[in-house]
Amino acid sequence: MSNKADGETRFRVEDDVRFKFGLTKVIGKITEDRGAIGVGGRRLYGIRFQFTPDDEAIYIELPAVDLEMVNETEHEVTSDS
Amino acid sequence: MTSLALLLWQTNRSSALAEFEEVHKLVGKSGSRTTHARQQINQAFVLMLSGQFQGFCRDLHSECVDHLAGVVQPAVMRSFLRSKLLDDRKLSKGNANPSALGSDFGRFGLQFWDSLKAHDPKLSDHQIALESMNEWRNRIAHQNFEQTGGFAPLLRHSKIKEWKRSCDHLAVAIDAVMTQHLTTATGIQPR
Repeated sequence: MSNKADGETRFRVEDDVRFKFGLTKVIGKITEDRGAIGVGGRRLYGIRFQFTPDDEAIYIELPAVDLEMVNETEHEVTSDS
Repeated sequence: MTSLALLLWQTNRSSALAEFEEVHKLVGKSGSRTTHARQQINQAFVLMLSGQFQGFCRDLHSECVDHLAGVVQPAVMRSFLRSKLLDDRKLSKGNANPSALGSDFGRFGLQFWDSLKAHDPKLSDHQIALESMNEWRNRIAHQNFEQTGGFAPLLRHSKIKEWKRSCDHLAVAIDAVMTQHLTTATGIQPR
């Protein structure tokens, strides 16, 4: 099995991240750092997200390469909208 | 090809379990005064063994999801596939008992236990051992010894070592079966 992929962004539990889910982009919260157990040793993150506040939370695991950090300002705008 | 989950089981997770062996040796074997202490350690050992094996199974499941989702086309379907394979995963919240393993790994499209037994017919014994270990784990975790009159039966260290060997056999077999299955299904060997 390969070693951990180099140069990947490290996220932390509680970070808000944006990622593609099908054709749309959604925002979720990292709930767990699953460690370097992905393909080629890349780090996987457990993330929970909702399409709307009334929806049940969906769990997904994604590699860092599929995630973008959501900054504070951006998050506030998203929350208010 | 060995999965990272199996490597972790054989190194970090097994090292953590080996520390219990050391504690067991420190308490010693002789003397009725240490019997109670040894039982406490044995009970804690079972909780740790069950938890570490569950951790291995969950890691391997995640690794399989990452492999499969990485090759499926069209790419736009990948996140849907990930969420469906991970949705309500039994290994995320319960013991790695035979039923949970069959349910979670069965999502990849194989008859999990049939495939394991075809890989190695002796795994039936280890499946029974896994069931037994998890029953003990639950009785200890919930302190429910109703079936034995409210008293915790004697839990021998040799029995725990037997369960650990079964977990070792199962870990290697599950890794091999899932590697083979995903390679056949995708045409690409997991790496």
